[in-house]
Amino acid sequence: MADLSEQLREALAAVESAGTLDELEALRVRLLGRNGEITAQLKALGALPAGERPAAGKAVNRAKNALSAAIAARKKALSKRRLDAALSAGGIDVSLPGRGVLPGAEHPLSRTIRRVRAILAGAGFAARSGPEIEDEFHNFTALNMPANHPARDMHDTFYLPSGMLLRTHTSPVQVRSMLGEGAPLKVISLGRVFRRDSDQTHTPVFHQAEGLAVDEDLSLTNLKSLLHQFAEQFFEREVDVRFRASYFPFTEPSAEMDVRWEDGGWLEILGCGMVHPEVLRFGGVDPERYTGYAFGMGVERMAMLRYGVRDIRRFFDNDIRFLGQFAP
Amino acid sequence: MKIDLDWLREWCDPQASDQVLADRLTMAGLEVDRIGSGEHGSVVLELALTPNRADCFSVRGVAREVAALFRAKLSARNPPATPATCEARRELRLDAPEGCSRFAGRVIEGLQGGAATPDFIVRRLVSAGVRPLHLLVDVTNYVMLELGQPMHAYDLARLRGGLCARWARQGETLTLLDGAEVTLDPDVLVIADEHQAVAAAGIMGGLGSAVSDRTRAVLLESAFFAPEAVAGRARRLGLQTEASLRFERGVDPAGQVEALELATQLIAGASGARAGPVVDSVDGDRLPQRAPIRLRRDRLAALLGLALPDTEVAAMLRGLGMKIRTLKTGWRVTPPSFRFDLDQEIDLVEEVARVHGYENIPETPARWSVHPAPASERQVDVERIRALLVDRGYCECVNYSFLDKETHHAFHADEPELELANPLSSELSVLRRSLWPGLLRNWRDNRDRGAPRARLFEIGVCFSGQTNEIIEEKWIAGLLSGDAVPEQWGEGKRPADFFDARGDVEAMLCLSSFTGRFHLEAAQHKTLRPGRSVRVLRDAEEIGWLGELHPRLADGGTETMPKVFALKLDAVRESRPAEVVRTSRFPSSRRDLSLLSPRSVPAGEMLEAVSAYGGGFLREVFVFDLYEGGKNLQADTKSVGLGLIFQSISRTLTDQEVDAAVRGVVSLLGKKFGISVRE
Repeated sequence: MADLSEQLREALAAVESAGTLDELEALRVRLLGRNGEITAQLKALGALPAGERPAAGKAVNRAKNALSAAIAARKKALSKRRLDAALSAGGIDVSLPGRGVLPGAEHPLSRTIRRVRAILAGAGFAARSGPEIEDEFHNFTALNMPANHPARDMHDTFYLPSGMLLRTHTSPVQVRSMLGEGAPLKVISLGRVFRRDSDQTHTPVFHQAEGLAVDEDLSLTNLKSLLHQFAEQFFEREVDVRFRASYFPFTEPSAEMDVRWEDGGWLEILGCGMVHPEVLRFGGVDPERYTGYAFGMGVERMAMLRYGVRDIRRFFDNDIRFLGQFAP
Repeated sequence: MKIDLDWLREWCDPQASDQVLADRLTMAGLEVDRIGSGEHGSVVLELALTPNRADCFSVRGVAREVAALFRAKLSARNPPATPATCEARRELRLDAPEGCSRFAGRVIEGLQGGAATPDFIVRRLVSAGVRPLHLLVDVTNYVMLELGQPMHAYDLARLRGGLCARWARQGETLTLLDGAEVTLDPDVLVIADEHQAVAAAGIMGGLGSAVSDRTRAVLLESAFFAPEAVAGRARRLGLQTEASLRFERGVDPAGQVEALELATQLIAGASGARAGPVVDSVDGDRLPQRAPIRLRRDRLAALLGLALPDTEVAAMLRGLGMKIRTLKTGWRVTPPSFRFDLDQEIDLVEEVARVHGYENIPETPARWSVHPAPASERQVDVERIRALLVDRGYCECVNYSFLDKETHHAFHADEPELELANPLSSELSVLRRSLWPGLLRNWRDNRDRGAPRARLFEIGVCFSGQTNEIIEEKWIAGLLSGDAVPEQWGEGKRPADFFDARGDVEAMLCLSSFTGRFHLEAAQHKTLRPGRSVRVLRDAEEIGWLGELHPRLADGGTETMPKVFALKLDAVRESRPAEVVRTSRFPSSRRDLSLLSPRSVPAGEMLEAVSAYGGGFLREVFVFDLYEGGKNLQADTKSVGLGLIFQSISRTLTDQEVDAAVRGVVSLLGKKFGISVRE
C-alpha cells in the first residue's frame, strides 16, 4: 500500500493547487469519480487475500475521506474567491455625493420663536395670538397708557386712516387673553410688531415674545426664578442674571433682566414685572384676588445673541447664503 | 441726561466710588449708560431716565435718589431769599388754572449788557451738553439743571403790561424763539401779555419778547404747568424742549419760588442788578396734592414674595421723602410733592423693591394651578408645515408687511391700496395683500447675488378688504425657480415646472387628514400665466392658488417666471384624527392600459371618471406614462398609460372579473372622451 499514501499525497497537493472550481471538479472526477483513481483502489480490494482486506479497505476509505474533505474545503475557498472577485468588480464610487435635494432652512427668527415657545411650554405656558391691526384700547389704554401718556412717545406708531394702528408690541394679546379666558392664566404671545423707526439697530417690522401669568399668590420671586431658568435654557449654559429696576406702564414693579456675557459685561435681554393692577382690572381680573407677572423680549435681539448676528437688517435681507446657515 | 458728578456730590456724597454710585443708580432704575468726562476733567454720568421719573431730571432729583439708596445725607442747599431792592413788578394772572395753577415771577432791572456768566456755570452747562449763550439764558438753564424747574426770561421792555397763563385763541399765531411761526390750537396753553401770546407755556418762548445782550430789565417766569396741559403739544408742534420734557412728566409744584430765588441770586451776583418783589400767584385748589396711600404689609409681602421688617420698610420710605403713619395693617404714606408717579399702593411696593434691591429678592419657583392642554390633533402644527417645506429644500423668508404703490398695482391692479396714514417712506406705504411680491423680490435679490435656483417660502399675515374694513389672514406662500434639483451627477438637468410646485402643494395638503376635501381646479388668476394656474379649493371655498407668475411681472420681459403658490394657513391646518379602514389580505391585480386620447381631455377628469366608474374593486388608478407631440402621434392626440389596481376586501378576484372591469373602463373612456386603446 505504499503507493496509496504516495498517491494520496500527490492528490492532496493537486487539490491544493487547483486554481478554479472547474479544475477542482475535474480533479474530483479523476480521483473520486466512478472511474477515478481512488475508486479504482476500492475496486481492487476484492483481489486481495481475505486477511488483508479489512486493513487495506480501512486505509483506502481513510484516504478517500481525507481527499473528500480537502476537496470540499478547497471548493469553499475557491467559491469565496470567486464571489469576492465578482463583488469587487461590481464596486461603485461611493465617494460621489448622494442623489436628490438637501433641506433648505427655517428662518432664524422662526427658529428662535420656536425655541422660546418650547421652553415656555415646558413651564406650562400656552401660545396665543392676536391681530396685527389693533385699536388704541388694546394697544395702549388697557395697558395703562392713556392718551398723552409719555410712554406712548416711545412707541412710534403706524396709524391707518381709520384710526386703527399696527400693534407696537405683543402686549395687546395679554389683554385679549385675560378678557377671553379669565384667571388663572398662563399664556405667551409671539409675533410681528411695528414701530415707525428704521436705522442700523431698528427695523419698522420686528418680532416680540411675551409671557403673562396670572394666578393667586404669584410674586416677584417666582418671576425671577422663571426668567433665570428661561435664560439658562435659551443659552444652554449656566448664566448670571441680574434684575434692574425699570419702568413699563403695564407692569409694576418693573425690571429689565441682564445676562452676564462672555466679555464680562451685562447685556439686557428682556423686560418684565408684576402686572399692573390697572391692567388686570382692564382684563376683567380682580387684582385683590390675583397677581400676575409679565415679560417680553425682542426675538431679533435674542436671535442675534444666540447666533452671533451683528446687524438686525440681515434678518430681512432673505439672502440664502445667510439663511442657509440655519439648516435644520 | 448728563450730570456732573462733582455737582451731584455737592448735594449728596455717599462716600462711594463713581462706579459704585453708577451701579447702584442703574440697579434702582436710573440707568447709567456711561460714565463720561465733562469740562475741565469733571466726571459726567449719562443717565437714561424712564418717563415716570420726572423728579430725577435735575441734579437735586438724582441726589435725593442717591441719598435714599445709600442712606446718605442730602445737603440743605436751599438758596436764601433775596429781598426786593426795587419796586418793579408785573401782575401774573391765572386765567386757565386747570393748566397753570402756580405762576411765580419777579422783575430784575438794572442789567448791564455783556455781564459774563460765571465760569462754574459755563463749565457745568457744557458738561451737561447745554450751549452757553448769555447770562440770563445760562442762569435759567443752570437752575433747571440743578433744581428741575424750567424757567423763562422775558425782556421786560418788550412786554405790554402783566402776563397771564391762558389757553390759545382760535387761530392765534406765535413766532417762536427758533424763528418758526406756529398756529396754535385752542388746547395749547400760552403765556400772554395784554396784547398777544408771548410764549407756548412750558414749551418755548416767543421771539418777540426774547432776552438779548441789550436787555436791561427782565421778567423771570417760574411756573407750574400741569402735565396734561403740556403733554403731546410739543410733539404736535414738532418741538421737544428741555422744558416740555420736564413739564409733560411733572415738575415739583412746590419749587417755583425756590428756583426764582436761586436765579435771582445768580443773576444779581454776576451783574449787580436789582430785584423786585416776588409775585407768586397760586390757585391752591388746583395745585396737585399728594393724597395719602395705604400700603398693606401683607400685600407688600405677597407681591415681593418676601416679608421685610417693618422698620426697614419705614426707613426706606422715609429715605425717599415720604411722610409715614404706622397702621395696624401697614402704613399710611404721603409721597413728596415732586413724585408724580406715586398714587397707588403698587407704586409704593415698587419703591420698596427698588430700594431694597431686586438682587436681594430670592428666586422661588411658583406653584401653578394652570396646566395647558396638549396640542390638538384637529389642527396641523405650523411647525410641521414649515418643516415639510424646509425638508423639500425651501428656505424661509421674512419680509416687511408693507410695500410701495407701484408693486401693489402690479399685483393688485383692481384692489384698493391699504395705505398707512404715516408711512416711513413711499417704499413702505401700503399693506401687503399677498406674500408673492416679497418672495419675487427675494428671488431676484438672490439671483443677482449669484443663486438662480430658489425654493423660498414665507408664512405671514396678509391684508384684504377696504381701507375702513381691513381683514387680516395668515397665509403660507412659496416660490420655486431654476433647476428641479441642484445640478448633480445622478439626475438629469431639468427646469422646475408647474408640477414640482404642485407636488409641494399636494404634499402640504396631505398633512391634513381632510385630504379628500381639497381640490385643484384649472382657473385664471390676474398675476398667473393663463393656462398654467389652478385654484385650490377646500370643499367649495377658495383657499389658495398655484401657478406660474404672469410674464407681465417679468423684469425686462426676459425672465423665465418662477412658479408660486399661496394658501390660507388656517384652511390647510384643519385636520382630524385619522379614521382607519380595514385593509385587504387578498392579492391585488394590476392592469395597464395604453391609451390614445384627444389632447384636450384633462388627465384629472379621466382619472375622476375612471375612479367614479370603477366600482367596489378598483382600488387605485394613476397615470404612469404620458407622451405628446411625437412623430408617431397626431398633433391633437396624446398617449396616456393608465395603471389600474383591483382588489377585493373579502376574496381573491378572478381574471374574468378583472378583465370585465377593464373592458368597462375602456368602453367608458371611449364614450365619454373619445379615448381609444392604442394598438
